[in-house]
Amino acid sequence: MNNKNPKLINMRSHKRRLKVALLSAHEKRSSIQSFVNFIIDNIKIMSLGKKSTAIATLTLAIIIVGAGIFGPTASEVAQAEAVTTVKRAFARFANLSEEDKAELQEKFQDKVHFREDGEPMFHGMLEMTIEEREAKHAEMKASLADSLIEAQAAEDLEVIIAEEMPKPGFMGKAGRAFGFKMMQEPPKDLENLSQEIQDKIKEHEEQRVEMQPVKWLKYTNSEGKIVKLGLNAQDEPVMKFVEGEIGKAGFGASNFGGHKGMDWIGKKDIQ
Amino acid sequence: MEKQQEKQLIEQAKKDPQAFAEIYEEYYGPIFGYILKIVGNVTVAQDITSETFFKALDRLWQFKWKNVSISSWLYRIATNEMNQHFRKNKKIHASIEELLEKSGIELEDEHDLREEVIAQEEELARSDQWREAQKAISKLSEKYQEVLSLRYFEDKKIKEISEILGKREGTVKSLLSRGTKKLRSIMSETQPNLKSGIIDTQDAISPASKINQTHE
Repeated sequence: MNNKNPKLINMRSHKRRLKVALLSAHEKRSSIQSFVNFIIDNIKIMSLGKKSTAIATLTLAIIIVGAGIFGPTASEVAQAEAVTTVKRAFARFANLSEEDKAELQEKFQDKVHFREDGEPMFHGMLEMTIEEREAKHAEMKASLADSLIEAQAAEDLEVIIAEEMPKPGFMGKAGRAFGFKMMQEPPKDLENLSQEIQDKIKEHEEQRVEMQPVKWLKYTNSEGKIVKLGLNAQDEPVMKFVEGEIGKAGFGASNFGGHKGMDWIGKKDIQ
Repeated sequence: MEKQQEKQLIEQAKKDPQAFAEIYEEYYGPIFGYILKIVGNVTVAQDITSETFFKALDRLWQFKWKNVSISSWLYRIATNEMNQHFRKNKKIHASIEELLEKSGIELEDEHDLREEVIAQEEELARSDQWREAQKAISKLSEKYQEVLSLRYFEDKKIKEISEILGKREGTVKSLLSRGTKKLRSIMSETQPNLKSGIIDTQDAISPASKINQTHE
């Protein structure tokens, strides 16, 4: 039968070309190719159990990578969390008794702060006359329900935790600046004070805890101002900051130059 | 090539691919011929030969010397490459021309290359008996094709076929026996009047008798 096989021509040219290509290409072959071959070859000689483990690991890796690529982005997740938070806040507010609603509303509107464009410090509603407060009330959406509606309608709504909140400077009634830190610092040496004062301080402290925001909803309102709505541990709105476009001015070191407020701003905030 | 010399070359080639050139020079012809006789197309045979040697060089690091010539390993790679070609019509990963172009190498023998292909095709056309056998074998399942091609086209012994395919000698014998019967059957169906068929001719050794010779 071998006699009947076709005669083989000396494929001199193909042989030479292949040899040159083979050796030159091999030098250029990347280590990745060798690594891939190594992996494939090892998979081939694996036992069924090991193959199953390898496949399961690979599948898990693909799912993780796939989730990273095709899953929701961090901002989408943050926004979804924010929307959920607003819904919870609404539900919480709706479930309050009328008396509690009124009480919370009263406390809340005292905690609404605003800063006009270019101003370095925040103003509080308490600084104003009754007429001014009434005028600002609607403008600042100082009611609980209005604030939540405003937050829900915002396109850039997000949640920021309390630790991420910059410490703003406030303009006190007498024109003195004071800050968040001061508001949160409990007075020391209570024992030396009279019982009446101690009771007042205690009452104030309880109120402070109740009105202490643990997280913030941040969004841009319909007027283009940045709003930060603080929620307490029960998801009740307890504080609000409305700031104009040049908002940074209030947190910058230069705006506190020579001012007492400077002491309350950490170096990290200044930088 | 002496086995000891081959062993040394392989060890050297694992560290320095240039040493692979000598192995290539030795086995290019037999591997190309083997592939050509099975696929029956010169260009396809060239491509599969290229792929076989590329794969061999890539995987040389995992070749373990067991006192068996590397040719068995090359035949096995070639067989697998052909099986893949027939199963998936697999495309080779890069043509020689692409690789040469990427490497900035110009070889001025295009004319010779075409002439070689034409000359080999003419030789194939002249081999009627081989053509008939090749067509008949291609109708068999892969396991029979492998053993019959190595036995009758390459004149390999049972032991060698066993080494190449990684099958026991008993299995090879059994496959050869059954495959030959099937081959006869196919050839008698397609060419009932063939008196000088590849199996029955005096020139060709009858598969059955050759098996007996080998076994006995």
